[in-house]
Amino acid sequence: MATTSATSSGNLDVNGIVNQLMTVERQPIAKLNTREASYQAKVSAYGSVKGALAGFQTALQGLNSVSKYQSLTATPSDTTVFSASATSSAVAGTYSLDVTSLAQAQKLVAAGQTSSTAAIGSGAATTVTFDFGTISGGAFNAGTGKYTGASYLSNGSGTKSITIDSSNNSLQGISNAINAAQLGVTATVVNDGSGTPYRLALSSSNNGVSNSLKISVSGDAAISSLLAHDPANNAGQSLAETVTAQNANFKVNGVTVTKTSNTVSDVIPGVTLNLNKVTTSAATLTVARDSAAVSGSISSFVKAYNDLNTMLKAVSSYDAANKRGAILQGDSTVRALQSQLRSMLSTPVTGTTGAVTSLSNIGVSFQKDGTLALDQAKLDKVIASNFSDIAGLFTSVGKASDSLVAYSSATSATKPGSYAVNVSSLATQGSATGDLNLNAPPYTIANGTSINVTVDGITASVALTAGATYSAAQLASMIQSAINGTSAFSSVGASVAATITPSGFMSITSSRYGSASNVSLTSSAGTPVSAFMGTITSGTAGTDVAGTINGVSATGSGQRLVSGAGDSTGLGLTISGGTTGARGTVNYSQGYASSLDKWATSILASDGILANRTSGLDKTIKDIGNRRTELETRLVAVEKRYRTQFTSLDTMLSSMNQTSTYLTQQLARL
Amino acid sequence: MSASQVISNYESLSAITTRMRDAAVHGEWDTLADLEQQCSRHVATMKPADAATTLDETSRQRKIQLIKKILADDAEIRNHTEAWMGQLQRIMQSNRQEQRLHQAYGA
Repeated sequence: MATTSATSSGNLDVNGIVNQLMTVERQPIAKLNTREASYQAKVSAYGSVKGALAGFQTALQGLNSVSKYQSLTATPSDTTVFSASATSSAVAGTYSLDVTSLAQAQKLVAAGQTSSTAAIGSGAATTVTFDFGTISGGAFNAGTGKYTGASYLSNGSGTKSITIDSSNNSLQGISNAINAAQLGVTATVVNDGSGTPYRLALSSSNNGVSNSLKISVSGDAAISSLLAHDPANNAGQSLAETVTAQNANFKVNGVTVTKTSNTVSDVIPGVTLNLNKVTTSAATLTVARDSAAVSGSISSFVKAYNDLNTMLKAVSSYDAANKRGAILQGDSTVRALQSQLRSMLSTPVTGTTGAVTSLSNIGVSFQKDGTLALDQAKLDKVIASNFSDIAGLFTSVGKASDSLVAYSSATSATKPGSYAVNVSSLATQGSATGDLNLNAPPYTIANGTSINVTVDGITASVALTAGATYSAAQLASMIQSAINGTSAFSSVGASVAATITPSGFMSITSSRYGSASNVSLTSSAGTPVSAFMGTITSGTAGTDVAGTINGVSATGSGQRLVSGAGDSTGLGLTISGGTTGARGTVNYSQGYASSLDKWATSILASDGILANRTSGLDKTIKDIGNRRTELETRLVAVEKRYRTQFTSLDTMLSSMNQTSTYLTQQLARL
Repeated sequence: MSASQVISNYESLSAITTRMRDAAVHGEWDTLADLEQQCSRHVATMKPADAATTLDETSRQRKIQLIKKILADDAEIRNHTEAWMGQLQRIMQSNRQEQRLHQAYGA
């Protein structure tokens, strides 16, 4: 409050008296300020608690993953032969590995040209289409790089095309166009030093015999004679093969394995191998439990708890060193948090089938001071004996008794427990099967044939590769390749498998399961769909899995079955096959990291215990602010009144002095 | 100006200071200040007559009596004013004690 200056006649120190009086009047405000500061300190302390809880939750989220507790190491005996990594699904053990050949990619080279930049052909728009597949049979002449009497079968992964016209019809232009289109082929222009030195070299990006190239050219004759390449056509091989595609051949524990890539992840479960070298004697792969990683995760859990506990203690206990209470000493909210934490950590995990159900089982126990400590020796014993059960102590785990039933998800509503699974019908894929017997080849697809195909509700125009000598299998392979190579499908992950049924009918099946899966075909240009499908062009949609979880009807979507009611609400399972009827049980458990994470979420929520507590304090602080404003307003009036009174008194006394002096003089004269 | 008028002026002045004394006794500080203003205006108007008028003995004695009465009122007014100031002093002292207590033991 501003203090205005008042003139004084010297009889009274008006300013001094008013100021001192106002100090008296301000006492309630000073008290309010002190109370406000103490509430603000509490709000700030709750902020610290909130921060510590959020930090704890972040640490928990990092630990709430099954793989953290099931880490395995994959160690090669000779790292020059192969490298390896293991996921949590790997099985500890020793594997012998013999590599007899490494996978390699096919390399082709075109005839030499005098210039890398001169135009080739007329510049008319020309389509160059690349397909990948397997060359088999016949004879290969290493001198010419050409096959005689071989056959070629597309691998069905899809064809890809580029267009060559007057803008890019040089050797360098073609090379650039191929690389820019990212077809799975790498092109370079090499100079061999001969009279026609510039040669276009092509290399398949993928290793393995099923990735050999077939190139079709439609348009300019000069481009066609340079690039058109059909390994099955003795005269139609413009390119020379310099390196033949080869598969990786190796033995795992004596079992022969052939793969198109040197990176192999589906031979030893949970292990990815990277083959580097052919072996002369068997190498060894050792897959072992990564006890250091598991111990590390558990230590992190213990530390996260101890850090939070330290923080809660700091804001709520008596500070013996400084002989004063902490801001939240005896606070019921903080005490509730502490006791909830302790109680959660002392309660065994339910729903798990394993022998490990409590922290003390793995050597983690409370100390006298309330912190957690880890007994490494005890943990090491559990890692050796019950390795796969440790994850369930910390994370959300679902274990199905049926190998074709897999736990996929749970929500915060899912309660731990053992739930029976019953499948009433399995998911199926949408498919279209023709009624035209294709056992009388050859079949012809006319030039410019395209059909409209719908896969899983997406419709796109698909160009078919023209040909007059298709067998039923080649027709299926070509159609599959054409559909899967259409970006409208591949960009959303939709794909089909085209096969010939035992009855000789064309069957096209979507890779997707469920009611959204479907396949249908309609004629558009060239050869009609009826030429290979017969009268059936629209297929049957797939069906969703149906059944019950915990005895209550569950919702099916494709192969996923999700419980919608009861304790198992939100439990999602993938039923990948098997029979209908009872399919065993799924044990769902929530480990400590999982349940504490949920707990922290509820505490930190906008309607949680901390928010309620601080919003109460915030309201009190606001009330104090309002009261202070009222008092300040009143004090302005009080000060004004005092000041007026003092000033008039001061003036009065001065005037009275003059009067009394005059009267005294008059008296003296009488 | 006649002697009776001079005495009448002093009687009026005495009447005002009596009322001033009563106001001071009752702590009516605003009234006191208003009366004091009347008082000083009255003194200012009667000053010329005071100097120019010769009084007979009866009037002189009456004037002495009246001035003494007015000065006695004046003294009593000051007594009350000082008492009030003393009271203020005590309020402030007790407040300072309260502040010291407050500082020692907090809210």
